[in-house]
Amino acid sequence: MNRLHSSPILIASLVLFVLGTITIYSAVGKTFFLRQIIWFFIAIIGLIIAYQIPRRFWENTAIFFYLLILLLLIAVLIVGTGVGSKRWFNLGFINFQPSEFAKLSLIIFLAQFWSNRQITFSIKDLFLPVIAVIVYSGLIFLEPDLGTALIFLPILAVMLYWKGLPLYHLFLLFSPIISFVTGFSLYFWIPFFIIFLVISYKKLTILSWLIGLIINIISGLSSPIIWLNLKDYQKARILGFLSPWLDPKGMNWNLIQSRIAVGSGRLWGKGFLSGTQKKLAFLPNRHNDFVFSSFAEEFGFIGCLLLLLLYFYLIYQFLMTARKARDEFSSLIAIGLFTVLSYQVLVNIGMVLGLLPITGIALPFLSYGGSSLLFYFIAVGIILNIRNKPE
Amino acid sequence: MEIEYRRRRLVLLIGIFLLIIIAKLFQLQIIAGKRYFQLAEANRIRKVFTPAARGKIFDRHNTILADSRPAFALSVIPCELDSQTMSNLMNFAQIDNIRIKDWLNNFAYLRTPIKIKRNVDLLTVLKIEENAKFLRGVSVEIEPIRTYPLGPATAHLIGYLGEVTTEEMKSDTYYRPWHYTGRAGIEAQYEIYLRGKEGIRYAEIDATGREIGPLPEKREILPVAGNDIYLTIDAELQKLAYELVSKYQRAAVVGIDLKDGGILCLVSQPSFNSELLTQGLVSTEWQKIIKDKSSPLLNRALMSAYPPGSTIKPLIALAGLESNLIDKETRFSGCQGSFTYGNRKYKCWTKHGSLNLTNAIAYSCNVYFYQLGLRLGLDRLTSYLLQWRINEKTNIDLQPERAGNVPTREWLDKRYGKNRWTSGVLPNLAIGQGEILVTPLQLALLYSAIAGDGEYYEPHLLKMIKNGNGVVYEFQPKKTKIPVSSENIKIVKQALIDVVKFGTGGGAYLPDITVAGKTGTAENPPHPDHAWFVGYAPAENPEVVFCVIVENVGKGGAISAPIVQQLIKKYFSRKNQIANNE
Repeated sequence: MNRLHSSPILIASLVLFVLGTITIYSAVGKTFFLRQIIWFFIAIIGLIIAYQIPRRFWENTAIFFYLLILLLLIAVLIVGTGVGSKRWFNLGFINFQPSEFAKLSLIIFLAQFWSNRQITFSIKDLFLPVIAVIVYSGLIFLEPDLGTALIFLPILAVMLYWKGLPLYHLFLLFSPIISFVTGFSLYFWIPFFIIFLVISYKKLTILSWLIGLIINIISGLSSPIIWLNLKDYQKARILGFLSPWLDPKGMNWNLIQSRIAVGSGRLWGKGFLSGTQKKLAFLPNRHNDFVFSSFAEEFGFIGCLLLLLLYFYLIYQFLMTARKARDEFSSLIAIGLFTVLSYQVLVNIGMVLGLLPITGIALPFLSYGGSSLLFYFIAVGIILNIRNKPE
Repeated sequence: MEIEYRRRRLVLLIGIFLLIIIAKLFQLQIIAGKRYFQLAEANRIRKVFTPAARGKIFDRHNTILADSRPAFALSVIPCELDSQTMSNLMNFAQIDNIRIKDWLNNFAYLRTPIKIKRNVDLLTVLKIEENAKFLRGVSVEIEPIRTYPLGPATAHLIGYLGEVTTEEMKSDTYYRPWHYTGRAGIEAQYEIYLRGKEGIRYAEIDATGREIGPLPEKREILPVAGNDIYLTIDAELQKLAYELVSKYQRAAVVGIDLKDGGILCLVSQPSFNSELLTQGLVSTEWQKIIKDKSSPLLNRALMSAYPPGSTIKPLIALAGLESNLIDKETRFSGCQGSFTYGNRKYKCWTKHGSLNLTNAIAYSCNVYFYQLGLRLGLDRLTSYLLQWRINEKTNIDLQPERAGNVPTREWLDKRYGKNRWTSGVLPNLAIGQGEILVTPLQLALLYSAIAGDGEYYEPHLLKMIKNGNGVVYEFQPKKTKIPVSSENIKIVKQALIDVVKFGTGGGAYLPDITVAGKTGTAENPPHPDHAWFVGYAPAENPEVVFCVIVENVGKGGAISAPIVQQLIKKYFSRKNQIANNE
């Protein structure tokens, strides 16, 4: 414990939290600010517990933990609450979002499954993890929460990469997904398919090559069908990303207003509590997914650089934890947490700046939302545990 | 070590993404920061224009001729409108569905209200207010709308308003959409004085476009009301003049105050409903006006030129007197009902026998003036007529107007080819027929000049411009002179008194006021003749001149002279009434 409070990782995450809460205060006022403070205390308790729990406990309960979250994800579809989607359990005074903990549970499950063994591009090493990912992603996609559903893919990819799976195998593993995404347009799908044919022909047996071929064709064809079943707002967001300034009334409204808020911050920002875009509700989700634009409006380019520096420091420390971990299970957990953290930071900011489509994903430590805050402080607890406790 | 290699790869990957983000931030905040800052300000600030009250228009005795009253206008905020609301709205307000829909689609992004219907009746407003919850994005505003208390009596004089066009907004930055501007008459002539200056207030708004409150850092600019225009018109005379001619199909009346050239009344028949025109007509009503053969929008007092007929005779007589060809007792061959010149017979309307000059005017004998015209010759006659500025516009402050025409040799050569016109032009010109043309206003001015022994004031409608602080501008009358000897003009003036006393203009006779004037018949083959009468009073010391033309009713003495009589009578009874009041 004595080494915990002086850890630079903890200090960095506390600073990020403070920046987040003052931005929330400035953007939407006292109520949300106070709720976030309450969640902070819960999160700190989570951090201390996570720090104390021996890693062997995670290793032993990985499958049980996975199934528990699975049940919660099913339950939230039935009794969950949310605006236009079912994402939260309403626990009276607070809302609880199980998908946040699905991230942790999947990381632990995959780490437990792959640690201390050599993995190859084979059914025995990949089938169960892929199914585990599809089940979680699928259930969360049904809520619907596209942003969180997508996060399991980079977790799977980076953990496999870390485990030493060659890149071309990763490419083949993810080829159905790439087929699916490029399936919207033949111009993208055909070049991809040629590359796929070349790589797969070289690296696979005839039978698995044939199976891969069929899977890719099916998934390439299915994307237009699934597109038709997307909710209107999801379609609008994707279309909006492709043509931002065309329709200011539609979903691009978010993007345009977000850019205006960020851009109007200029070098030094408008100053704390002086932002105009967020105060007047021009910014959508200004305390939540778009908290970065509120921050950027008030603290400017300089503030953003400092924020990015803090994030980079944390991301780098997560990665170094994975690199220096004494056992493979810990290393895999750390790399999984590293993936979640860097993915959310990069995708959220990329989305706010209009570099990526708006998929709805929280900015770690800054966004309003207790479950996310709790998850990230637990993540910091686990990272510190790995660093500080040799076991 | 392989794991170290992978770690470096991952750091590199994160680094690249972070650099892209920093580059984008640099672009947004540093390179384009200023623009986004302005966008952010524009986002939250709404400029609200507060309408300026348009100036009123008064007559010379402070009777209101043009005023504004509050009216309801329907506005929508396009970006809040959905198709259900739209169809509800169409139901309640009976709006031309498809046109508005198309048009609104072009503005679908707008978060500021757009007017879609003006001057909505109270019943519709009540229906809309009642169903407000089904009509999100629809609002009822109150805005001033123009009223003209005298209605069609002043339609040509005061004119009407119309919404500005895109071109007008481009050429004059004062105008914004939904502004009214003067389209005709005094409303157009004095638009820049009447319109005033819009005020601007700044309001802070939220993302939904709702006003949160005033913006403390920007001060409100208050609207400046338009100036009030005072005309030389006398509303009572105007009303009477319209009343007297409104039973005829087409007619015009002009009355002028001789002491300063101020127009007392100016009427054109048929007239139109200037309030309806201001409110914007639906196309069927507009077509009706355009297709009406009587051209109700035409201001006949200024824009129609007719042959003056016998009303020109005093001028022909003056030409003879001034060139010393005749004196007031000169007689020509007696009138036998016609006069043969070349191989054509030129008619008179009766057999006058032998007449001297004054009686020739009084009885309006054509034969006398045929002979006088021939003595004068075309060139001498037209040069005298040109001195009376028949070929020039009067420059009255009411546009448009047209000039009359004097068929000079030059003009005839140009029109028909050199010497290709008949010799009959001259005798016709001598009795005011053919291609000599004057507008009713011009004829009134010709008689102003006669009444003033050659001197008269240029015609004008503006008396003064006033604003809240008092008189801004007062019109200064301009005197002008026709070079004619007062000896000769006295002869003609006596003849004009005789016209009314015992000649053709008996219809204008008043027992207690000496009226001088002249009848005229403008031939209009193959249609019936137009009836002229122009007269001034009192003959001894003229104060007022009236000129009346009624189209297609025959001779001037019967129809037009009594109208002038009524007007002169009214003028003097008004004068006494006002003098008694003071």
